[in-house]
Amino acid sequence: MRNFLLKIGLFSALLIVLGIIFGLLADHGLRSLRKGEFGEWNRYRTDSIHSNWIILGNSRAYRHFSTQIIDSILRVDSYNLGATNATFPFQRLRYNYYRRFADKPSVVILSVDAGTTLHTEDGIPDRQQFIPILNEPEIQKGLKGYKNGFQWFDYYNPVTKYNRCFEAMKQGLFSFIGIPESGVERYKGFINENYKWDGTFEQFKAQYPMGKKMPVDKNVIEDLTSFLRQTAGEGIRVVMVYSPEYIEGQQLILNRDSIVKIYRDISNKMSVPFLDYSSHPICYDKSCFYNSTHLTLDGAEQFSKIVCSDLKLMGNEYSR
Amino acid sequence: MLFNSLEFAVFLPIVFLLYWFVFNSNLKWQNLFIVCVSYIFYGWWNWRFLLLIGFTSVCSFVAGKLIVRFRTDNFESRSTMRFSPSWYVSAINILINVLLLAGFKYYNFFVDSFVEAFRLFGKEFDIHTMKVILPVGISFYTFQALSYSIDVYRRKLQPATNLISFLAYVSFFPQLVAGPIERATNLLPQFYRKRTFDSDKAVDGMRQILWGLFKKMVVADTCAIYANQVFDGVGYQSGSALLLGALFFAFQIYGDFSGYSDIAIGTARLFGFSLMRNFNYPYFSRDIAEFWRRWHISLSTWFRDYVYIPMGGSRSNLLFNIRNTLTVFVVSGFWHGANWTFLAWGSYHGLLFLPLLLLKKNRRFTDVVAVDRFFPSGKEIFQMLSTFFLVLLGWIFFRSKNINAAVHYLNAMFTGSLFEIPDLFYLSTKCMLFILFMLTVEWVQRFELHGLVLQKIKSRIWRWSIYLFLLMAIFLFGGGEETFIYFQF
Repeated sequence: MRNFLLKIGLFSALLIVLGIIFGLLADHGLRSLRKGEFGEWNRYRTDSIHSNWIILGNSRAYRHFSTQIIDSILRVDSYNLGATNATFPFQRLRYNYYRRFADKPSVVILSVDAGTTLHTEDGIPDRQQFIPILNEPEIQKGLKGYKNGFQWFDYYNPVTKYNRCFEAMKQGLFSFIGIPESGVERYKGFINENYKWDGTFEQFKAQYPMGKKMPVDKNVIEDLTSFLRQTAGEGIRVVMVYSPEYIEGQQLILNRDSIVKIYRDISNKMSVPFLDYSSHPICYDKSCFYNSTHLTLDGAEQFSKIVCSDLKLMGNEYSR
Repeated sequence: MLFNSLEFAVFLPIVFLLYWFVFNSNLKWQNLFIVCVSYIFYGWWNWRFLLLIGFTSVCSFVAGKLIVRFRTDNFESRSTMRFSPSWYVSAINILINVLLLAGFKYYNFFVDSFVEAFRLFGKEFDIHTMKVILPVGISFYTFQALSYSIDVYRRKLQPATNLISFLAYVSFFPQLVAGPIERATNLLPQFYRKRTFDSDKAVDGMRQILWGLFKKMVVADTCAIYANQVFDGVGYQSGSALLLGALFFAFQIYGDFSGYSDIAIGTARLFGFSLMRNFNYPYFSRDIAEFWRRWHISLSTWFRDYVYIPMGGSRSNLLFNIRNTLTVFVVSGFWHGANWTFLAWGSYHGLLFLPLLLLKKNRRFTDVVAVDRFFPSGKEIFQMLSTFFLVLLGWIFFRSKNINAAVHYLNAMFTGSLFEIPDLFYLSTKCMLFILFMLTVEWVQRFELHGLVLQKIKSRIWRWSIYLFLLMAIFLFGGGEETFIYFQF
């Protein structure tokens, strides 16, 4: 028995030591990445970004709002904080983290939609992205209470947080040993890459031939309203933008009109401008989209010019 | 408590240390300790159902006592045994257990089927179904308790004299909720003997647990993601994607259930117990008969011993033999759950088995495939693949929500798009690599009791590297705490 317990003890010790070493190396590697979501979090921390215009939202934000075009037309310094699948609480978490290292922006373009913005049903989006910054108290607070969240002990050791996160461990270790990163480097948060029609809309249509009702969470609406109150208090101007969606896709979201109405009501209540492009001609042009909710690069550039000219029309406060 | 949960990772070492260091001196205390921890293990899910398992155990224990008390000293012939007092006691005990099982598991199914059947003839009945919570593992421990009283009645086993030992036998936590369904003749006597710690057995038990965890948490849980995706969206999948979905389910259920059995058997070995083997590399079978000698062995042999043979087995004429065989397959299917899909699954396997029975080829393959070679012959590959394909078609019934869904799945699968390469193929490469790894290891180890018998590897560095590799895979890819499929049965 003593021999058996000794073996188990030795093996466990080896396991723990190796785990800690690999965890620390992966953490170090992840914190030096420049691409993907890891890269974005790292940029906020290390690049001293002082943009006066911020674009906030999910993947539709970083695919639709070209920072290059916004900068050149409106003559501002913009940065796109769009995050994959981020519901509003995670958009706000990213904004708060960004603000820890950056100056107060003068304008925030808030990209809204019917798909992911107003609910938290899917839990933490791409939870691996938080691994290297999990020791930060505001991140811990923001991730609390989600079904796919981290355990309390994940915050205090470099190993257990990698559970079920092979990609993060791989990317971290690869980065540590100097293997070049794959993927696209964003231009000030905007993804400058073209895509072809990817067929996911056809799959969605087959899965929900009668359409789908998107969930709406009252707490998230409250969170959005409190964010608008906070920015107003700080003197930051916010404009909510519902960027184009392919018209056939719009028809499959059964409660889309009521969700747009929620945004309109918030806009009226908080005196925040709301630009809705749901019936813009671009929505009828399939060639501008690579699926029902995302514009191609050409579509995004076209849309960015449109939104810039609309913002210009709104007065000097929305351009330099 | 799930084997793949943090709770169990804390529970097991504590129980292990207390068992060997605190309660080791006295067998009675050790057995009582097993009963207590087994009840904690089960009650973690729902403590109210401890009463049920306690009731089932006590009924069978008392039945065993009464069977012996009412038995006459002379050995009774088969005909005089029937309708004797001991026969009545045994029958009542069987009836109580079966009624409990039926009440919890099949009540709503019978009511729905009854109402549906009469609706066909234009009669409407308004019978209410109930919201019944199915006690985890009820089919497993009920069958285990039944086997005891039947064996006592058949004089194959002396009745248990000690209630604690008997409670420990029925509720032994490693195999309580999903088997192997132990026979009293094998497990009960182990509670009468003093257990001594065997380091080699314990180390091998740990290896078996590790392999089981790998199969469950890495292979099965990853396969589950893709299998669920396909089975939940049959309407928009190509034929080839549906075939791939069925394949993923085949490996999900294998990894899930055989993984559970490996963890159960390995855990029991840590406590000095030997449980029966439940899986013997079934996907390397060369025909359906061999598959059923290698898949869920504890259930198939249970049905053989307590249903097939009492019905006459193969000793009667051909027609009766066919009836007996089909009955066992249908009942075995129904054992899995209250759904026509399980009946269809059981019947399908019965029909696949019949030709072998009629041609007297059902015992053609009793050895290990490619016994004297490393690689199988072309013929063996064909036999294994065709058997696997037939089994895979059966899993479509097993996994589908109802018969219509299964038929729809099969119709949609056998279309022109069966020969396209689906997007799922590229998306699931990681999962396919896991399956390939598992199959390779099990092929190499096909003569061994489980996939991680490493006695031949003398170097500790190699052995520990293998453990580290598997643990790393479990840590990085597994850990979703998906429940075990067979818990619902």
